[in-house]
Amino acid sequence: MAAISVKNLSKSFRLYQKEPGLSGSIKSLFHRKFTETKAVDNISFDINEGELVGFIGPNGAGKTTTLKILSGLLHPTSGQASVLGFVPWQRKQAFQRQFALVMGQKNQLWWDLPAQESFLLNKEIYEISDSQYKKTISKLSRMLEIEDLLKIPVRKLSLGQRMKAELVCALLHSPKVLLLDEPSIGLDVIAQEKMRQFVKNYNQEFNSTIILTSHYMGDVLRLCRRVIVLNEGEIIFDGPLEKISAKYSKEKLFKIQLESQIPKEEFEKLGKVGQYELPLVTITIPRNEATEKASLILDKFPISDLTIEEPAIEDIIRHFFERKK
Amino acid sequence: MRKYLAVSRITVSNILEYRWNFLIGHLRSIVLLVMLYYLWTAVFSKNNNLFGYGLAQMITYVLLVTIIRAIVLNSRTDNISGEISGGGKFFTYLLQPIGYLRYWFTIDVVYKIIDLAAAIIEVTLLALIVKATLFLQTNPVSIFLFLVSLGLAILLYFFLSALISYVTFWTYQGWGIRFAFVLFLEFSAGAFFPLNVLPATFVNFLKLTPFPYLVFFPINIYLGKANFFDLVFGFSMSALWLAILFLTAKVVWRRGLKIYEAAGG
Amino acid sequence: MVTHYLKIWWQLGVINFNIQYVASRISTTFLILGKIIRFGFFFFFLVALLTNTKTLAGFSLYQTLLFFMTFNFVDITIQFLLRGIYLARQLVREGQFDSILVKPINPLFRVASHNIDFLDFFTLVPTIIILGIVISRLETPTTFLNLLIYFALVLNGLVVATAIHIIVAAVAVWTQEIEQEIWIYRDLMTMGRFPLEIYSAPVKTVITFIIPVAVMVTFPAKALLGILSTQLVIVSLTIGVLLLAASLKIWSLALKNYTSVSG
Repeated sequence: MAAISVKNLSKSFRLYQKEPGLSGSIKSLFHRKFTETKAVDNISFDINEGELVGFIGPNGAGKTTTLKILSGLLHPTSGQASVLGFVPWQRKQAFQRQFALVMGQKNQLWWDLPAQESFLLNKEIYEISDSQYKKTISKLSRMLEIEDLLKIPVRKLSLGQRMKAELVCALLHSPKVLLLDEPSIGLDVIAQEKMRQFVKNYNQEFNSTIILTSHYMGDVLRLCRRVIVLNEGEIIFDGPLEKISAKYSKEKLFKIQLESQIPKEEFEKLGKVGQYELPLVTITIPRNEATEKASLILDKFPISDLTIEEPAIEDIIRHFFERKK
Repeated sequence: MRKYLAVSRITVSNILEYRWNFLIGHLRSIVLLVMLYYLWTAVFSKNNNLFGYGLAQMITYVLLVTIIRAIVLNSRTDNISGEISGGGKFFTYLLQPIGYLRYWFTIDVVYKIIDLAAAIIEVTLLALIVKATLFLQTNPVSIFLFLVSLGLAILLYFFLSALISYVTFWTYQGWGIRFAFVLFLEFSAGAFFPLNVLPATFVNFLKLTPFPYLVFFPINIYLGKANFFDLVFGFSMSALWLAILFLTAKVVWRRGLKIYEAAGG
Repeated sequence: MVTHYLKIWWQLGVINFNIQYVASRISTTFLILGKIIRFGFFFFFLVALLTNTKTLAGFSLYQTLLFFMTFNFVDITIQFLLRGIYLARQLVREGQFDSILVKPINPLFRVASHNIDFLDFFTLVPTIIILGIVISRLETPTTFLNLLIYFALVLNGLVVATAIHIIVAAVAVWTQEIEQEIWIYRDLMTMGRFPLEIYSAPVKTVITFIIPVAVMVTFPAKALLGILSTQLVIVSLTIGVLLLAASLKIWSLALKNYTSVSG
C-alpha cells in the first residue's frame, strides 16, 4: 500500500468580491458576488514509503494547497486522499502523530524563548518519552550542528539557524511522513545546501516519505529522483527528473569544439548561439532539426569534438510553463 | 491652517474606515449609560435624597458623564506610545512645521466632535425612551462657568494622557501603567459615580489632584452644587494643574527625546 | 488523557510566564494593580451605597455583594481559562493556527490556552475568599441544597460563557475577519455587576436571551438566596447544554470551511 495516495483530488476556493464604498457594503449584505478558483484540479498520484518527491510549479500552481490537504488543514472539494492509511482531514490524532508539516518562513518556535522551550511543548503534545526525546534531540541537533544554539532565545538566531531549529522541532516525534513547503526560501546559498544535505540524509537514514515543494531548482535537482509538476492545479508531469527533458524539451544543446576559427555568423545561421568563446561554441537547435544539422556541422566545419545534450532543466521547465500559458 | 485641515480630513476617513470599531466603542458607553441610569433609578425608588443628590440631579449626572466622557476623557494621545516604541514616525513631525502635540490635538478635535454628536444622540434617545426627569440649569452664569470648566478639563486630560504616553520613552511596558492609571483617573474624576460616595478624607485628598476637575467639578457647577468657595478653589486648582502639566510635558518630552536619540531611535 | 492535557496546559503556562517575566514584569504588575483598583472602587461603592440606602431593588448589602462577587468569579475564571480566544484571529492571520491544527491536540483547547497567565490565578484566589465571606454573612440563612444548586449553576454559567467564546473563535477561524465582537460580550457582561432586577423589561430581555448574563450570574446568585424557581434552574441548565452543543457544531463547521492563509 502506498504511503500517500491521492485520487481525483480537487479544491476550489471562493473569493468574495465587494464593491468599494458604503453602497458596496450594504449591497454585500444581501448578495455577494464571488469568483471560484480551482486551486487543485482533479489530481491523482501515489507515493511509496521512503520516496523523496518534489512538487514543482509556478506560484499558484496548487503545490501548497495540495500539501495543506494532505496534512488535513483543508477539506477538498472532491476526490480522495489517504496518508499512512488515514483520511487527512479527519484529523485523527493517531495520524497527526506520524507526520510533520514544515512551512518555510512560518515558525512554530516561540520568539522570545530558547528553542528548547518550544521543544518541550511539542514533547508533551506528541507524548514523546523522556528517553526518546533525549535521543532524538541529540541526534538531530548533531546532524544540523546546532547543539549549542538550543539555549539561546530564538530571536537572537540567524535565519539559517532558526530554520534548523524549526526542523528539529518538527522532527522531534520522528514522523514517517514529512511535508516540506518551500523550506529553502529566504536562506543563503550555504544554508540551502546544508538544508538539502540534511533532508537527503534524513530520508536515507529514517526511510521517511518526503514531499518537498520548491521553486528552487537546486532543491529538486539535488534531492528528488521523482518530480511532480503542477500548473494551474493540474499535474502535467509525474515521473523521473530526467524524463522531463526527454518529453518536453523542444531543443537540443550542441557543444562544439573547433579546430580553427570560424566566424559567429556561420553558426547563427544554424541556430541560437549560446556561448561563443573559441574554441568552444554552443548552439541551441530545434530537436527535429538536430540530426540533420549535426551532419551538416560535421561536414562543413573543422570540429575536434561535438556533443549533443539536453538543455538545462530550469530552461525546460520555464519554457514549458511559458508554452502552456 | 491648511495642514490642520489635512490632518482633520485624514482622521475622518480613518474613522469611516474603521466604522465597526467605532460602533463597538460606543456600545461600551451605551452600556455604561444604561447601567448607571437603571442603578440610580432603582436606588432612588426608595430614597429621595442620597449623597446630596435628588433623583433628577443624579440622572442628569449620569447623562452628563456620558457626554463629558466623549469630549474630555477621550484622546488619541494614547497612540503616542505606539509611535515611540514602534519606530519613531514622530520624527517626521519634528521636522515639519507643525508641533507634535498640536498635531495630536487636531486629531482629538475631530474625534471629540464626532464622539460628542454620538453621545448627544445616545443620551437624548435614552432620555426620551425612559421619559427621564432631568435637571435643567437656567442660570447663564452657571452655564458659562460650566463650559469654561469643560475647556480646562479637556486640556487637563490631554496633557495627562500625553504624559502617560511619554512613559514609553523609558519603558516598552507603558501600556500596563496606562491601564492602571486611566482606571484610577476615571474613578477619581467621578466618571462612574459622584465623589460624594467616597469617604470625605479621601475626597479632600483627591481635590488636590487634577482628577476631580475632569468630570466631577464641571458637573457640580452645572447642577448648581458648587458654592463660591468651591468655584474659586476648583478653578484655581484647574489652572494650577494645567500649568504644571504643560511645563512637565515640555520637560519630559525633551528628556525623552534625548534618551530616544541616544538609543539610536 | 486528562494528565496529557494538563501537562500541555502547564507547559504553555510556563512558556508564557517565562516570556512575561523577561519582557513585561512592569506591565503585568500594573495590570493587576489596575484590576485591583477597579474591583476596589466598585466594591467600596456598593458598600457605601447600601450602607446609605439599605436595599437595592429589594436586596440587602450582602445579597447585592453576592451578585457582584458571583459576577467577578465567573468573569475572572473565564478570562483565566479562555484568554487565548481573544487572540484567535491573530493566530489565524499569522499562520500559527495552521501549525496548531496539524498537531495531535484539540485546536480549541490549544488556542484558548495560548497565553495562559498564571498571575490570573492570584486574582482568582482572593475573589473566591471574598465570595466565601459574603456567602457566610448573608442575612438570610443558606441551605445546603441552595449552595449545591448555586455551584451547579455557576458551573453552568461557565459553560455558557465558554460556548460564547467558542462561537467567537469559530467566527474568527471561518471568516478570518471579525475580532471586535467579543467585546460586545464583555460589555454586556459588565451589566451583571448589579442585580438584574434594576433593569427594565426590554433591557432584561437582551441580557437574558441575547447574551445570557442572567443565566451566568444572576440566576446562580438567586438560587443561593432560594428565590429562583425550579423551572428557571432547569431552563438555565438546558440553555447551557444547548448552547454548548450549538457552539461545538459551529466550531466543527468552521474548521471544515477553514481556508488557511495563502502563501
